[in-house]
Amino acid sequence: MIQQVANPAIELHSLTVAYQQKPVLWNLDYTLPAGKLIGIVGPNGSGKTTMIKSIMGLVPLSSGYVKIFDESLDKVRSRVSYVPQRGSVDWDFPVNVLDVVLMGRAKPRRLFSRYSSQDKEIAMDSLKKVNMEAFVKRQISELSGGQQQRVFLARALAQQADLYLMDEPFAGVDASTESTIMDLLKSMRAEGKTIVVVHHDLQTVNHYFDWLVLLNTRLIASGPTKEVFNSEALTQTYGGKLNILSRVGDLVKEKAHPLREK
Amino acid sequence: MQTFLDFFSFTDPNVRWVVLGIMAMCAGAALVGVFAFLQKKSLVGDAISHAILPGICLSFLITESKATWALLPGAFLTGWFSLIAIDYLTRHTKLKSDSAIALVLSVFYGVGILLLTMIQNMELAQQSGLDKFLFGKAAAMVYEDVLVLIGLSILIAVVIFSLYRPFRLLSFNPEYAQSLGYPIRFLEGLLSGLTVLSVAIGVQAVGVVLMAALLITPAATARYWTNSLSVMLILATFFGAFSGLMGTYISYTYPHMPTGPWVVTVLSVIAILSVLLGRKKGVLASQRQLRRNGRKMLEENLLKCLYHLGEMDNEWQKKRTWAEITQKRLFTKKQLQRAWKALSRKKLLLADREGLLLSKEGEKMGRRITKIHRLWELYLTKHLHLASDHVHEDAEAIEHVITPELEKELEHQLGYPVLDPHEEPIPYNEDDKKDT
Amino acid sequence: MIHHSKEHDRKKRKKRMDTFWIILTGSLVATCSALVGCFLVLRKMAMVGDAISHAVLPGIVLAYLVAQTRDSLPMLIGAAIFGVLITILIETLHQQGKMQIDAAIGLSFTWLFALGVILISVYAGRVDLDQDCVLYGEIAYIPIDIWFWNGQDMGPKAVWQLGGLLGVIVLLLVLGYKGLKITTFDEKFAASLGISTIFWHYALMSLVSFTTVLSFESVGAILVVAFLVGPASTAYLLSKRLSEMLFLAVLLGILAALSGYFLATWLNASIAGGMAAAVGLEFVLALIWVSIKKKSLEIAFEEI
Repeated sequence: MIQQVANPAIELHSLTVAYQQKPVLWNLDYTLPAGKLIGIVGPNGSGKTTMIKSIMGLVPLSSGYVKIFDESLDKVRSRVSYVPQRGSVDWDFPVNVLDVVLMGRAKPRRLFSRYSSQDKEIAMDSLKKVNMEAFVKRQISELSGGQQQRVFLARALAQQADLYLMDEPFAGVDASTESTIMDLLKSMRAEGKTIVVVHHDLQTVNHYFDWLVLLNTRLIASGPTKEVFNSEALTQTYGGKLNILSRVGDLVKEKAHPLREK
Repeated sequence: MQTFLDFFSFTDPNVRWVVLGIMAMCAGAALVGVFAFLQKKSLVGDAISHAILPGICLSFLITESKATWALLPGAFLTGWFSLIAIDYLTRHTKLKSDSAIALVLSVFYGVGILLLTMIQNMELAQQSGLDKFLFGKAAAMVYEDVLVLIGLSILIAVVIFSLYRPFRLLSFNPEYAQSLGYPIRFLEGLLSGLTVLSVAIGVQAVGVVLMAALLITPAATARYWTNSLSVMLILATFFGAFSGLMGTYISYTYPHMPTGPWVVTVLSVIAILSVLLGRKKGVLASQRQLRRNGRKMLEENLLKCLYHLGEMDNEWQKKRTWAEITQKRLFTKKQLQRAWKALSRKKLLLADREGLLLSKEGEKMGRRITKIHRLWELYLTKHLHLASDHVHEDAEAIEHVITPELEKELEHQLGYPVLDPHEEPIPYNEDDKKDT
Repeated sequence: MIHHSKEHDRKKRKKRMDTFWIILTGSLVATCSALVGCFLVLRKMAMVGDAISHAVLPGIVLAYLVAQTRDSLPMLIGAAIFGVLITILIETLHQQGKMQIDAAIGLSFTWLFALGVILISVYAGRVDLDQDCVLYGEIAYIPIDIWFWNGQDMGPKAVWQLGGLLGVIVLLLVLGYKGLKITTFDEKFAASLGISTIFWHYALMSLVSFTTVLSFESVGAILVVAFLVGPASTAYLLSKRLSEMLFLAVLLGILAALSGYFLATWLNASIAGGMAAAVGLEFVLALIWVSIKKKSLEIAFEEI
């Protein structure tokens, strides 16, 4: 079941993405509602991370386009915040917690000026929201996995965006961090923010998300969690790749065939 | 020409030995280099070769001899030590592997330079010429050196040949090898030992700076011609030996030319040519594939267009005018010309000044493409849950890549449907259903 | 007799001056390299730095041949061209040629370096460069090449050139600190903010090329890698903040230049080699210090 919405926060139109010429996302076509907590669910290698990256313009698209708040990304960049996977950075990097959170206040236009005192206030505020104000001066390598994730979240909060795209924020974190993060996400939703979360724990899906996107290279479902989260859809999502689709994908790679004419 | 004959007749015993030694050494390095390449440890070889310099100097300080047998133990020792250092730094400190390699490489080399210049200023007998290890001293090699080179290269080849299977498993899937009960640590150590050994004998010919090329480049080159490890080993050995031969030839012909840099240059030229021309993933091969794809798409699109025209009045064996064709589908003049010429050569259509006429065979192919297009559209709506107005573009591209085998499966899985998502009929050829 | 002792004094003073210039040159090389090197280490691009330092060789030789001078401007241009060329070559082999990255780096720099050595051999008579200079520089001769301005002795040319480079590096660091820090720590996040990661990448790569070529005469193409990676790695082990790491790396670099000089004169060996060895010694000491601290922390924890 794929439910489209009016005035979407995100709109994907015929989005196809190939990695080394093999399609990893095939013709995604969906809209996501604003002001909701949205879960992206699918097995490993189903293209969840790639999808988030393609929404953020970080990977080249083979076809299609993305619109955010009915605009192209460049026009609304300041309203969008991206939280990469925790493992994507070097946590031995010589910076402290405040340094990382302040990065959320960086703007391409103001790159050559220093952070203002207002920036610092916002950063401190964000740290308070994730219960990390006691760690301001701590070097990031001295944090636990859960604390590192909170720092990433605080950095996103410091961006004061309307749309948040989070790649596996619950991966490898302790139970208390998970509930802190979840409370925070809910309060953000109450403020009218849209939050998209790549998630892999099926147990919690029901309680966490208003809206669900089920993905396995192709889109399987997108709609309110209650209507989408059922055994049939899950079998489709986790029941392996479609035989014909993945063989066509292999052929496309082998023959270096274009995914669109021209 | 005369030098060419002089060189390749190998009548000069000096030439004969030097050439043989260098070829054996290059071949040995290429062999172990393949495994280093597959384990993505190519640059470690660079560190080893730099780290050999202090070992050579230490050996010389102790033995005061420049003979290969005298210098080899020290070279081997510091080379091995650099490997351990890199391994320790990446495992037990927060340093990442690139910094660890660069650090070990440059510091060992620095210590080597310190020792080397110290020896040069000590005015020991025999010391002159030790600096030849920096760029290699191929021409100055003597019979005994060559014997050591050849002997050790043969040793490397024998070990790799007899442990081929475990080494292969180790490079592709070490965890699996371990689960099978192979002594992983021993095998890894042995492979590292062979690498250090081949580097230690290799610096004789090309010097510490360029030795890395003899490990890395032949393997990287061979990869463009084959997917099989055994063929890769043979090819890499060949490339290595050939470059050794050519490098020596060039420096024989032009006496001021250094051997090592020429060996590396010959190797690199072969590598670049392979990147361009290689059968497996060469640039030209993929460009040819792209052109082939473009041609196929163009021709099939014209057949499909003629078939669509036939659908309008259920008459496929009728001549269609140029105007009708270009109205149905946008072809440029050049495209149209290329396509009909190719298709009439294949007897799929007849062309004259007024227009084009499908042959029986051409009609069948046009029908096939139309069928696949519509089947794929149906597949996308059914299994990818796409709206029917979002499937056409995808099908326009995919229709050209589906093989007859996949075509059958698609028909079968969809249950030989008769209508596509746009309510258009899905046409079948007469023999389509018989096969099943 | 009096005259003789005056002559002796003059010689002594001259020797002291030379020592000063050599150590100053070494310190400048160390400072420039340490600052640039910190970012190479943090970006996991140390081996790309190694590759660039080798690849500038043919650029330097060709610049000699074309311009027929030892002036630094043509050399800088030649080196910058080859520095960028090798990053493009590596990228092309990796992206278009689908070669794995370590092999692409190894192939590119050995080839360009080999071409450089061949060029030196071919034009041996016309190029005032020898293989030793390539391998470990001639820092001892730095005080000979003096820059005269209005007939005034202004000190060695190399000091002025390296000083100018240091100015450029410091300027870029002060202005671009924020951008360099963000793109180095989290490139994808920086890109998501709309920051041009390519700009900062190439800005840094150009600085690496410039540092390599201006250090070339003093320490050669390979030992500069020790200065690029060594102090930065040591500082990386010891620092908690980026500013601290940069400061510490510079300090360690200068210290290595100083102690390396005396090590080399004591052993009567290459000064540049001595400096590189000192860099290594510093790292080993830091490593021991860090492990002892870690051990004692662990013991303290166990007691609790």
